[in-house]
Amino acid sequence: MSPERYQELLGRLLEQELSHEEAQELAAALRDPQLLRDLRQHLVIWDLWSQSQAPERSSEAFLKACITRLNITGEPRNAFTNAVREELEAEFLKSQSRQRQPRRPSRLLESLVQIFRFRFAWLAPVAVAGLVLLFWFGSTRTAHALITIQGDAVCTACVLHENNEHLPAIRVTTGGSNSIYYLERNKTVAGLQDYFCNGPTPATASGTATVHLQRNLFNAVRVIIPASNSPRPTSTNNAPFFPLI
Amino acid sequence: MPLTNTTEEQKLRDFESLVQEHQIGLRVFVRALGVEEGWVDDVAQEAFVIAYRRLDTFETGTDFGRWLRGIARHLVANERRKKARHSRLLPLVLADMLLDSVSDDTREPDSSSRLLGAMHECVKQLPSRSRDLLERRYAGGETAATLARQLRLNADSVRQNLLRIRVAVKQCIEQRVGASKP
Repeated sequence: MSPERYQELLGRLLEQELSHEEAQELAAALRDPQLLRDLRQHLVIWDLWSQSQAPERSSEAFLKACITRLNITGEPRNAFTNAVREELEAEFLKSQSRQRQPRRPSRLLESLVQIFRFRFAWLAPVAVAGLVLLFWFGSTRTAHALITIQGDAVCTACVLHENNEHLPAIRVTTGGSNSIYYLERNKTVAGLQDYFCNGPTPATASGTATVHLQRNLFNAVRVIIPASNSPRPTSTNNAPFFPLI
Repeated sequence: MPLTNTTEEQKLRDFESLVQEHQIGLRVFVRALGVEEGWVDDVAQEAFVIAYRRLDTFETGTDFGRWLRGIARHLVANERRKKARHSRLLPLVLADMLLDSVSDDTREPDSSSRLLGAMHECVKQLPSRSRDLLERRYAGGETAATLARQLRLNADSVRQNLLRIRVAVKQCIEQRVGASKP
């Protein structure tokens, strides 16, 4: 097979347009180990790229989907409820700093889920997700008061492995659930990136929180990281590239 | 990571950490096994759910990633045997070849993260039109056919453009990080 034809078939495969006959033709060419390797590499790198670019394939979305599936399949029984409750509690903590009357959405939510579990078990995740969305969207308009969060300083690339952008974030653990606050780049955060890459390390941040596309954004006016947590030396890891190949 | 606490809440917490640690590598592994682009996350999530149920059978101290990849491989092989559910796989003749050629003994996810870093650098070097096309394809999730309609171009032309970009980026990555061993 000519290189041009291989490229053409590869392009059709990656665009999910390969016909049965073309698949047979490509398979014959892939008896050449170099071409098979080339195909695997394309599958790997473009899936990796898709994960880093498509919001619905983000690490957070993937984790949430896993937790939801655990609940749907019945294990653990309260996992999804707990996860949602804890997210709402984290939101509740933020709302306290906005000097509102405390709300207890979690109890209401749990009661709803308990009812749904018996009568409409399949509807529970949908209803809960709807409530979460309502809660989140509702909160975006009012989240401008100064609040303080305590958690771990983490880097979105080095620690969370969400993408390759080294962005500072604070991971707040409430109960058994983690909430990530993505710090906006400003002069307060500038110069601290090494600490985040060196994380997780305890940190306290004060600033304003907003929610955008279901991500907690945090504009910090003060970040305190214990001085003893000095940046670690640069990694000397020279592991071979193209995993799986 | 150690799996020592057996309470349900702790187990779930451990599981969340494991998902965060291994999800990138597992998903590219699943794709390399020959799973269709749109079903990769579905299969990977299934593997994680099975892993959660069987956490008590995982031998602490051994390679969790390898164990997880073994579960994923089993899922895909099982899918291969069930003729009614072939839609999650690439054409069978290709899926068979990929399934046979990919080993569970891979080095991830640190290499995945480094690979992604190189990709970002390489994509930055592309002309803006090429970057835009990639963004529409992967961030927007549009197919070449849809993109062609939107851009009022021929579908073949869009497909060829995308492929040229992919080949260029892959070559750039190889130059940056060194090609893998044959």
